[in-house]
Amino acid sequence: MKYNRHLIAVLICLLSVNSPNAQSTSNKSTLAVLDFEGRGINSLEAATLTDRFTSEIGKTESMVLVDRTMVEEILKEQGFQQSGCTTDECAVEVGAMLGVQFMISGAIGKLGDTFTIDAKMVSVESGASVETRNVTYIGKVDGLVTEIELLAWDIMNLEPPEALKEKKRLGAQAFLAAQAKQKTRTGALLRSMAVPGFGQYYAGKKLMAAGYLVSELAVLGLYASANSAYTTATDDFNNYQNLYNTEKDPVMIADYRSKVNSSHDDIQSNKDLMNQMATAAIGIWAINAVHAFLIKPDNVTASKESPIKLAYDPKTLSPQLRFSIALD
Amino acid sequence: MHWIRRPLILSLILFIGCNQGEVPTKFLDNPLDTEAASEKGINTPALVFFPDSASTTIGSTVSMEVYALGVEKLGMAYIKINYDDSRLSLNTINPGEFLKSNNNLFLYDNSVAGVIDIYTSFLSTDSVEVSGTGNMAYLVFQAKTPGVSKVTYSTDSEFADSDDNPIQIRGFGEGVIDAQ
Repeated sequence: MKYNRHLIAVLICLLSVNSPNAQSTSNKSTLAVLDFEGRGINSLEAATLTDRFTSEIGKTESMVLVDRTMVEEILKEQGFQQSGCTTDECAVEVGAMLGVQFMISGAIGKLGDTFTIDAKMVSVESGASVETRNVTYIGKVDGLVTEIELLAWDIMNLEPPEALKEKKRLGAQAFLAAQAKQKTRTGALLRSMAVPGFGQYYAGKKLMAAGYLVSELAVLGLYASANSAYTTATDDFNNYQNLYNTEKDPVMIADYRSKVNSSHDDIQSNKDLMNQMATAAIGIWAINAVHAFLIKPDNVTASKESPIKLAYDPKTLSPQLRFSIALD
Repeated sequence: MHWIRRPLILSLILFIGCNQGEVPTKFLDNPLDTEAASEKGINTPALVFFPDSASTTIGSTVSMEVYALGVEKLGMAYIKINYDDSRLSLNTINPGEFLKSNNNLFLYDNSVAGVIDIYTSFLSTDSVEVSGTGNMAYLVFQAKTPGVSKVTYSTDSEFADSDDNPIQIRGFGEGVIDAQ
């Protein structure tokens, strides 16, 4: 519940007949990542950042990523430590042994509080640099993780996810704190079940929240009014019924008979009203709960972009019409 | 999220516990109600008991009143009442107020087991006839054995006006005494 879950993401290519965007895994290019060289940071930090970079590359799903253990095995066979393979020639050589089409290598440097990240994607076939990216970052080292995640999307020429952009905007700590307080549909549902409108309020739909609460209270108020009238009519009925049963005066008997009938009718009509109000109250309550579940809570990290977006994919050189439905 | 359990449970209890109300059954069967009597097939003028049912215990007494219902110009009456003398015994009998005056006649005979004969009429000139519904006599029975027994009017009973013209009795109620 604490994490966003994008369950459905549908990409539809338009305006391009030969868009390979929906290519199968077998048609994807293959890629391996070498450990980034650490300059001013220790090799452990460099390896950790490379891990995060590799993991983010995997998330892009644009290429088939070769497992790093395989890379390490090849390097070991060739007598390299990963950090020892820093040149393009070495990367191409290792890439050829791995049988991949592209290799990514890079370096992370530190000068004072300034960090630099240089990353390069090399074509194993041609030995040429396909993509080169440089990032300069000033700040705490934990912010570097976000930068390297963004770099992974950037080097693949892909738009990073909104959550990642939000993470950069808020800072890692604030982002994680916001994620911990992530609003969920279930949270909205439970709140609305407890108090009508509370789920909508929680989801940021304050006007709807007020509407549900006022409607429920109005119906419950009418129910309470009918219940009060019902109780009064029942008391009257019992009283007149007793008087009727024991009365000997024919005139009074006729009077009590009339009152018994009248109070009985009042009981019936108020009971009907109570039933209607109870049904309405339960109906509003149920609709409110379902509605609270269906509406999307306003999360800090939730995507604010339109669900339909026209984008250009530089890799396929074709425009795309992108639909996305977030079910978090 | 644990905090939400309590209000959630309270809301559910509120909905489940909502008083949907019941409509009580009305019993409009007062034996002195001419409308109720008519619904039971007892047309006026009639002889009925009030109350028409009573419960008692063995050895205890139970009161029943003899009523003329919806009668016009009643001057005299002969009322014959039958009861189960194996279960009930007549304890006391007293004149009612309907034909009561400064000088009225009220006689009864209980010499035959299970039968009460009542003769009552005006004798004075201050009142000669009465109309409507009124008490003719008070009966007090004592329960002898357990069980339900009926107290009924004989169709030999008669109403008459002050000139001794008969008034047709069109309905006869009955009383039920349940002795435990």
